[in-house]
Amino acid sequence: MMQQVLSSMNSLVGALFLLSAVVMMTTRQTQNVLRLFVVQSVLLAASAFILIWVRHSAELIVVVLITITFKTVIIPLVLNRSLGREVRRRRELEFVVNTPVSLLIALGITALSYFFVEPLVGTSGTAVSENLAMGLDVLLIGVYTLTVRREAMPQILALMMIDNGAFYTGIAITRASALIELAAGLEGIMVIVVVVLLTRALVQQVGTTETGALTTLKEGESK
Amino acid sequence: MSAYIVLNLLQVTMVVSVSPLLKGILTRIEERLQAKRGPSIWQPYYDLFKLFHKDEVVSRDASWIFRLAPYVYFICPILVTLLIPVLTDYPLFMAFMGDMVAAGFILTIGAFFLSLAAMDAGTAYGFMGSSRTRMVSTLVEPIFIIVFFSVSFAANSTIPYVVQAHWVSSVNSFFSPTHILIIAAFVMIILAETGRIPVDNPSGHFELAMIDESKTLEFSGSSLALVKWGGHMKFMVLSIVLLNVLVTPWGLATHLNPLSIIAAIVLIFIKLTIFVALLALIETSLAKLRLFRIPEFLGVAFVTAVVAMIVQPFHL
Repeated sequence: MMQQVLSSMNSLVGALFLLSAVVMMTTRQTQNVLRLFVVQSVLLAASAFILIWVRHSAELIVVVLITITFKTVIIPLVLNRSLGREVRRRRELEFVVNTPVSLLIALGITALSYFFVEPLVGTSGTAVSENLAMGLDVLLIGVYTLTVRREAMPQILALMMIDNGAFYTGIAITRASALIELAAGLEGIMVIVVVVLLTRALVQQVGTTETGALTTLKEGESK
Repeated sequence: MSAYIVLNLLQVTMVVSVSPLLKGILTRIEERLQAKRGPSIWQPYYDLFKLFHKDEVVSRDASWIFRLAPYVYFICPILVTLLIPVLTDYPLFMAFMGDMVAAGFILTIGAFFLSLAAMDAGTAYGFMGSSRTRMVSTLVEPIFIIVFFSVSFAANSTIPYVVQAHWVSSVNSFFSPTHILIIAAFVMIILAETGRIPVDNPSGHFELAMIDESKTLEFSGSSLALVKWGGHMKFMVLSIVLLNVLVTPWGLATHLNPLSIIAAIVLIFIKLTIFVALLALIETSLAKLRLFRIPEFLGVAFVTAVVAMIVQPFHL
């Protein structure tokens, strides 16, 4: 009974996790992307919390704590403090590929990730097989989002979406020790700090975070 | 047998009489959330009463379609009410006359006639409203069909009563990812089909932006009342399908005795009020999309529905 309820909760969280990735891919305002990222991270923490009981591994509490402290508190805080003006800017974000095509590609990615995961774990319907496919799907959608976004801020968040997807898969399939989880979680925050510093430098140099617009070299322009 | 017919009539009477109240509650909650006082929850009834006592003006160029359309639009949701579980979880008199696809088509017939009527009078706004509504419905239609596919994939049927029984029967299938994603897609469809906020502003009367409202501009008097009432009923019928078949399939009357029927009526009221409050929250926290962003919103709904179908075989 307990296991059944847990696997139900796991499915619920998984479905919302997947949905958040698709919506995050198509959102056109930076602040909404950030909010969705926080929601997604909360869902990741919830998944880890459920897996503590499904997999009987108490170490996963570390993942819950890392995700909550870093991804839902510190990263949004860092982004707001250092790039607050960019976050709150109400400009519509541009994509390289238009949204309907992106959505079709996301569908293809979803089908593919289920297609690849199926021979590995079978259609057993356990928490593990479900989470593996969903995590992979979110990871791949994150990679795709990273390539089609043309702004630094959403690209950072797409990077973190990849991280979320990888974590989601990782905690479902491995019996990792807490230390590795800790290291992986801290790596994420390091990457964010570096990228945020780069972005600030970018804003100071060229006055915009539109990475898509950076197609010519500055020296070539001045001539 | 006769008890079933009485129950069926009770179902229809409830939808016809309560739907304006639902709309009133929705408006009231929304206005409250926006820190305004808002009209009384009985306001839709006052409006309908007022309109039924007014004279009707019909364009000289209008044909019989213009006269017929309000009646068709009013009757369609009533027909759908006969097919869906409103109060009881056992199939009533007409339950096997049609499935969810049929319900969708019947609602579409009403909307189709209203679009024709809006063009019939020959004003520019009517044409504009009709073409925009057709654009939204054309995009909603495939999502509806995919949602029904996913539902039939999961529940092996598209008869609403059977689907409802399927979700009740096991907690595991109720919480399957397919089900959650179907619900998400269905909520987005309801928002689009009934002209709620991310797609259309129901309280806005700005000609260039409105979609649903511009179809009713030419109607007056009792025709307008029928169209408005039909719109309220359509909203209520779709909400009941969402609540009683998909989201909370519990708490319907399982026996024929009056007590359980009364309990079911009270419960559906509570469910609808909670749903409407959530909807008001969604609507006040979102901004209306520009017309050319609507396909993107519906694209997300489409992908959600298809993902629900892809996920299904992996959760048995």
